Amino acid sequence: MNGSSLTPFALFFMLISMGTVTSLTAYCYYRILFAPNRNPPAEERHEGSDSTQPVKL
Amino acid sequence: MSGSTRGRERWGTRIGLILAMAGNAVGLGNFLRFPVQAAQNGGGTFMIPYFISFLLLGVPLMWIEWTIGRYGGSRGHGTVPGMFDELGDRKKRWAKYLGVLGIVMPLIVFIYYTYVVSWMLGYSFFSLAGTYFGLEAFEQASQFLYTYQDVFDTSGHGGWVAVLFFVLTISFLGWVLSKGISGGIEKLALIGMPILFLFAFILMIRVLTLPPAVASPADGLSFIWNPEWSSLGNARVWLAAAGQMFFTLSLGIGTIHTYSSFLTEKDDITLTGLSTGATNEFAEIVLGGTIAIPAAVEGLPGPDFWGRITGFFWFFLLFIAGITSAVALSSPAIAFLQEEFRQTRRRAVRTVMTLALALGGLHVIFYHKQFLDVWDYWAGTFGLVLFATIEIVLFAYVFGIDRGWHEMHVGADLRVPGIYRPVMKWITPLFLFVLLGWWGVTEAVPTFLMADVADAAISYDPATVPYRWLSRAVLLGLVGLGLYLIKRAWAGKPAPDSSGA
Repeated sequence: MNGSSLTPFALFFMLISMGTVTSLTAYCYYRILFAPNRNPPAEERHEGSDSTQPVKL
Repeated sequence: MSGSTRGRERWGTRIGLILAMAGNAVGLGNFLRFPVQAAQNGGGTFMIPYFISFLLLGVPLMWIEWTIGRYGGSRGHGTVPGMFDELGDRKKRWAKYLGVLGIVMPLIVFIYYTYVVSWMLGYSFFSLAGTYFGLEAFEQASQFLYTYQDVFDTSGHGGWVAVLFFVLTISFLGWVLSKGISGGIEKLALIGMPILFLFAFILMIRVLTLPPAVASPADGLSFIWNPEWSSLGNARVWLAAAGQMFFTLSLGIGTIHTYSSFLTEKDDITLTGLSTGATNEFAEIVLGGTIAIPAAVEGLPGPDFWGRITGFFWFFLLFIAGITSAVALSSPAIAFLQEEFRQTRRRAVRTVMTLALALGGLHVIFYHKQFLDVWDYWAGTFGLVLFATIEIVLFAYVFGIDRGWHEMHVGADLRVPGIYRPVMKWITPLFLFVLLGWWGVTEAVPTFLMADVADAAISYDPATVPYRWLSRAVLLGLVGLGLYLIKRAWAGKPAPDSSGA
């Protein structure tokens, strides 16, 4: 319940939540700063799935 | 960040764009709304629907808005009417009128939000001056804020103080905005966002190491994080989590569209968009989840030097979070005047700031008459879901998910997982229709009928009813003005090229 002392489950949720967003943020900035095009989209690899077909816009 | 976008302004650097977009998203809601929502909706277990909403609603909508914005910008449109016009069947030319929401809603929110942000500036000065110290009881602190908000109440510090800080805030915003995208908004983000994070880290450390006056830091954190498992079976909790996504990521309002319209056609939006979302989530969960409520539970610092500095850091942090969001909220209206009516940037900024000052004055005068609440509900809450529902239908079904998916990946540095294609086509629209229906039935209809006036438990003052109608009339007048301006702007445009090339 809210307001009592911090329970183990509360600590679990807090650390998992904070760890998840911190990891996601770190990953994004790592990619931007050090590996911006490590995983280019399929269209640049010419793989040819329907999602990669050039579309006249 | 190079290339041509038909002579439109552009962002100077990628990090500047990310910080400006993050500044748009990180606002008062991250530090004030999120901890309250978490505490009221299950504590730690709130994070389960929160993360599911982030993945199924927040992230796909964010990518869609970036895509629509860049696509519209590459065709010379910095605002939603022109973007929707490009997405829709241009022979029928009806979609642009739906885009009125993307100009009027951010303008409406900008006007009242700037007034609220000006309170933060006022409180920053009060902190340094030690004005509010000694107000130990909640009632005393509430009364202090109440008299600050009431311009006719001269019992406290005089009604003119709120007006002064409002004018100062509007003037500062006008000055920043008149400098342009790269020279104004981007510079504000490059300076303001690091200061915001620095202040937030200092406060987080301070809160977690504060000698407890009332309770320990762990007791404070327990208010937000202790789980209530039964809440997972409550639909309201899931909808609260979904609603929080709109506020925290600034979705469904038109600001992301305008900001991303200043990208070039080949600039990445998938990795950059995800980065701004991640930055916002970091600010919300890590910083927002550890400052406000734990500090309130532990007890406020005293009027000594460090107490004043701590208070200043807190309110100035909120002020920075607020102004970086406010510049984004005013941008669609400014871009619309610039691009559709050929106004210079300075003139467009002057027009919008004058309107904000005039209509903001109504909020200053009628704040305690629920004038602001009306705007906040229809434009700042319900309107967001309505706008997002319209845009995802246009994107996934009128423009087409195949074209949209392709457009999203032009110049992309990150391949969006394939699962997001069906999510954008089916899951997110379904999520939005459920949210729209639920809020429509449970909140929008009773709010429209002013059911709270008759509800003794809420005890709203019936004397506010005429002011609330006045507030609605002004709101509708702004929508009408927006529709008229769109019609006038398009009247002089050449007929669309039917080839669509």
